[in-house]
Amino acid sequence: MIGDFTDILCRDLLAARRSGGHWAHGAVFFVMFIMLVAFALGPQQSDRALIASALVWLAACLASQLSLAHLFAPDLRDGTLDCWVSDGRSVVSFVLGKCTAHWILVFIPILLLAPFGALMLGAPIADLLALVLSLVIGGPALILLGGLASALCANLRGGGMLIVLISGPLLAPPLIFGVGAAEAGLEAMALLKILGAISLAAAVFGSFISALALKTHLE
Amino acid sequence: MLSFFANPIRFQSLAKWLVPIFGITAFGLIVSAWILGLFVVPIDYQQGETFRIIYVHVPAVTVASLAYAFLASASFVSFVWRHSLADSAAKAAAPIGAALTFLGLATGALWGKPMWGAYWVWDARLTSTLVMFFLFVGYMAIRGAIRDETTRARIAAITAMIGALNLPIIKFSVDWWSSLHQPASLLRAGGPGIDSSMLYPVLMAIVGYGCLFGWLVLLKMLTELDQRRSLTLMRRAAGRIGSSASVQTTEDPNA
Repeated sequence: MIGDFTDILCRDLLAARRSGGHWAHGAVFFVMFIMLVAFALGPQQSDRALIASALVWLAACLASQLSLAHLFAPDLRDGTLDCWVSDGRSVVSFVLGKCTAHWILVFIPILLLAPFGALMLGAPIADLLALVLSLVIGGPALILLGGLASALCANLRGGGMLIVLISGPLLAPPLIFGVGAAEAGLEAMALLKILGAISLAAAVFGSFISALALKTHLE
Repeated sequence: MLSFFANPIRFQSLAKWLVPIFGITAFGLIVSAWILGLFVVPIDYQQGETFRIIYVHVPAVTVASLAYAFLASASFVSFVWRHSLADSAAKAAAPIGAALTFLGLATGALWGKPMWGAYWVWDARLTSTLVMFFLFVGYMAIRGAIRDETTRARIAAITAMIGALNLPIIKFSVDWWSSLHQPASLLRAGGPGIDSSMLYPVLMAIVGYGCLFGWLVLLKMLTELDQRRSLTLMRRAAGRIGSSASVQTTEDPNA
């Protein structure tokens, strides 16, 4: 199980290193989103400060979904997953490994950029810690639930559109509690705990159901 | 019980009985509920005539949620026991459920404008109904994208079951969210106890809409069975006439 997980994780990280920077897509989208939002809202600093954490969360949520169409589809198409299953290796580990690689490649850059984005939108420095903490705790849910939609739609015509349609309702709860936790600050531990519960549930159920969907596509 | 009706022939003989019963009950109940509701029931002391949209709106939303429950249970049966009839029931239920949800949202918006002063409020109920609408749409979209019949049934069933898991979570989080973000809601929780002369037509309409849903689902399932059978017969006939190997004569296991 653990060996399967690290195998796929290392392979994906290596492939990303050789891919010519495709993995930076999410981070670039995040930065552009923040810049365009600032243009859309106008130069008044005071309006933006109120919604800065919500905007950063929204940007992180959308940016983390960007390259999901390519999370499982290539491995399904070129037979990698077929070999994986016929070797008797765990598909749940495969899913978790892929999602962890996606989290490292796409979400960690966003985590590093998030405080700067929030500052540029006018958030006070005191709020940054709660924002980053909520992103750290809620991020896995965003990736795993998006990955679930991606596994369902892997190998389908119109995959990208379908992924958005399926993952949209799934992303509502982490977004609601993530923004809530970021805005309420560090005193509101209850919200962070609910967010953590969503992430853990997504890790257990999301990876299991994703593996089920991928196996169905292989049949 | 389940495997008893999984036989298409047995299902068909039962459905042929149920279809007219559902159809006539639906027609009778809905028409009489609307006549009672629109002409007989006295006007509301607060909302005036506008409250009469309740006889279209409430049954639509109620039966739409039941339709999602039906879709999810049929998907569960289809996923676990691989019954093709359960899959075809889920397939038939999705567009009808989506239409009912849309009807509920639209009539709700029309009712909201005179009552709350806005077509749309991000209230917990409205938001989760909108999410349910997207769940129906997503289910239909994912069905449309898969060609292989077995894969389609499995993936669509998983999608419907995820939605059923997700709906209560969304309901809970949106409840929390709207109670935090919204000042005193315009919706009166529960409302003033509704008078029985107003209530009975609503209940009749709900049962009527339910029968309408059942009628349409059964009709669609019967049509699909007939379609498959005629397809098989056509293939067989084509195989007998043209001896060339270009025509597939494999038997459809579901027919």
